Amino acid sequence: MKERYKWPVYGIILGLGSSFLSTFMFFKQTGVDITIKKIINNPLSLLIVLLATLVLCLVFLYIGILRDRIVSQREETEKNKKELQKEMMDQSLRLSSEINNAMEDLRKYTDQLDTIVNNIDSGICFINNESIIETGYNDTFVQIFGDRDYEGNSIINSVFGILDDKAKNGIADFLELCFTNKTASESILNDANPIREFEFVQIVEGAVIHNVISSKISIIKDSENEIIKIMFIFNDITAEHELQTELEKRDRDYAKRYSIMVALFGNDKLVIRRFIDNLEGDMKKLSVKIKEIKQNEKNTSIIEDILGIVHSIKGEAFALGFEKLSNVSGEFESFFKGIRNKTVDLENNLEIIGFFEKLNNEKREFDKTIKALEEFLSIDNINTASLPEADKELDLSRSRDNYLKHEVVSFDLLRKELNLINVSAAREMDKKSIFQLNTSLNGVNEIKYKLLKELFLHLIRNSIAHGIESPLLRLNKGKPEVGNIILNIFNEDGNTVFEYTDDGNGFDLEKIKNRALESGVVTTEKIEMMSNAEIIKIVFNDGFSTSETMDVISGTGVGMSVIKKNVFKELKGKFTLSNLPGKGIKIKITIQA
Amino acid sequence: MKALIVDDSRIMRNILINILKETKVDSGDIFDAPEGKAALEILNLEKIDLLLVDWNMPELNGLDLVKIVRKMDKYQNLPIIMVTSEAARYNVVEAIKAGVTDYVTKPINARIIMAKIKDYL
Repeated sequence: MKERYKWPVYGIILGLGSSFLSTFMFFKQTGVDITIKKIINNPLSLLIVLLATLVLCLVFLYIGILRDRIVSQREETEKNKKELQKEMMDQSLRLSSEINNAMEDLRKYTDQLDTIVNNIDSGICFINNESIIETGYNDTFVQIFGDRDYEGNSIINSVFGILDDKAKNGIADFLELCFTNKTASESILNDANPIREFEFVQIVEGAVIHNVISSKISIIKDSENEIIKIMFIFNDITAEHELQTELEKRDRDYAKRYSIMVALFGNDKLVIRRFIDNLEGDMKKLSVKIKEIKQNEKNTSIIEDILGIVHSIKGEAFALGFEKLSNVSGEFESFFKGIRNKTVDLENNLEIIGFFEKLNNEKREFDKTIKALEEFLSIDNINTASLPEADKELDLSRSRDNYLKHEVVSFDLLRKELNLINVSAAREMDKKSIFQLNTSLNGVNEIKYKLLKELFLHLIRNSIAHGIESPLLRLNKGKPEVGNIILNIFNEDGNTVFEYTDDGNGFDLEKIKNRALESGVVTTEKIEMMSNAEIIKIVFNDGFSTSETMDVISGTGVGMSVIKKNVFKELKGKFTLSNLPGKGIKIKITIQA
Repeated sequence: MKALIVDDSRIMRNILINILKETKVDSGDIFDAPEGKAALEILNLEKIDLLLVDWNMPELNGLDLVKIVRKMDKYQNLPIIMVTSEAARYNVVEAIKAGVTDYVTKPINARIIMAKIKDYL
């Protein structure tokens, strides 16, 4: 039963009971004999009783209603509270699951990121503007710098602690620069980085390990473009560094080997240009000479001419470092040496043409290389056409045309070209020699120049091969270690004089005699009769050489005969030779100015 | 987009002008000056968006020019590329301190400088 109905019932019961009792007591007190029957029968009494009962009943009913209302209100509040609680609970559960999911995702992402960061080959750490290392440096960072706790420490002390104070100050200044210069780009800051490459020394299990580390920085900015962190990216480049050193060494060796060529391309394109021009002419001459060869004849003079040309190509190409061209000419030369003094038959002829083709192909390849080099050298010039002041020097083809128009070739060029021959020959023969050209004269015309150059080229090669002794031998003889080859050019009585001296061993008469006898140039009886001067003359005959083996420099017997030919036949000059046994030679060539 | 080239060599200015034209800067918007003081006049008259500056110049040199430009209100965030033959690290540091944004060393490579310019266009 509902509470609100209970209370009126209590009221009725209590009202009836109490009113009866009080009425009864009242009459009893007043001395009236009263019974319940009398009360019921007396309408007034009954009315009073009923009224009192009613009043009490109403009062109780009211109390009951009031109570009920309070109770129901309380219940409602309770209910609302519970609902609210439930709702809140639901919401918080939902939220927490969402958070959990997000956390899960985040953890996944951080794990992925960690995996990525830890698998990156670079050591990574972040520092703030106080140079303090923050959490999140990766495994590679630890691998590079050793297993310690870096977090919260200054990068300058903990990582670069082994560097000297000057270096540390440099890094501190650099980091300040990074945090304070907002307009500077990352690349310019990396250019200013003092530890782009540094050596890191650590002791691992008692062994001292030197590693070469490279560092790069990356600036991290917030949404307001303020620099908040710097990321350091470290790489262990020890292996690359070693490889680099190795490559550099190889490069150095290579550069040393081709230093002349390198120097030429760097400074003196004119010498190369002359070689190329001469090569062009020589090849034309060769093709003409080869056509002149007649079958079933000895063709001695033609073959000598051919040998002379090929020998020059071989020597000059070698001096300039064009090895392949030099080798092919060398093969050509040996072949001709083989058929010298023999009758040229059809088979020989075919072979000659084959060798010429091979040389010609090589020359074409060489031209291609030179052309490519020229293009490469003129690349730096952006839009030369629109720049009137631009350096037109790079345009080699132009300077070549200009050059060819010049009639007089200066002795400066002769000095450069002959010096080149001297350097390459000395290096090949493991000897030391200095070449000097002294003159106050300007130069000679193109035709004379070529003849003179060829002549001195052979003289210098022979001086180094046969005259100048090895450095050790020279020291033993009390001579300076380095040999001297001097060419003085001057005017005398309207003629131009070329005075060539070397301080080598001079002509070895015994050696010349033996070789002359061996090769059958002279007979034993005849040689007994010959003066020293006459013996020396043998050297200048075609095909004579004192060398046992033929090498690139000399020994083919071509060289010295060229001298004779050039001086007498071509230059119409005079030639005197003084031999100072053990002390050197002196050659004086006089030609008409 | 207006660019100013400051270099005492006319050839260098021409090269840089050609490079800027390649990067699609209108030729009417390319200004040039042979040294710092002339450059400052242009900087005052125009609102320049990119400054290419040499270091060694007569009168007012590049570094001092950059220092003055950075003090001007309208050029606080102006990209300044220094094109110079001074390549040592301490030169770079000095340039950063003056307020240079980027740095290209001579002899210049057209492709590198073009890539850098494109970053700031």
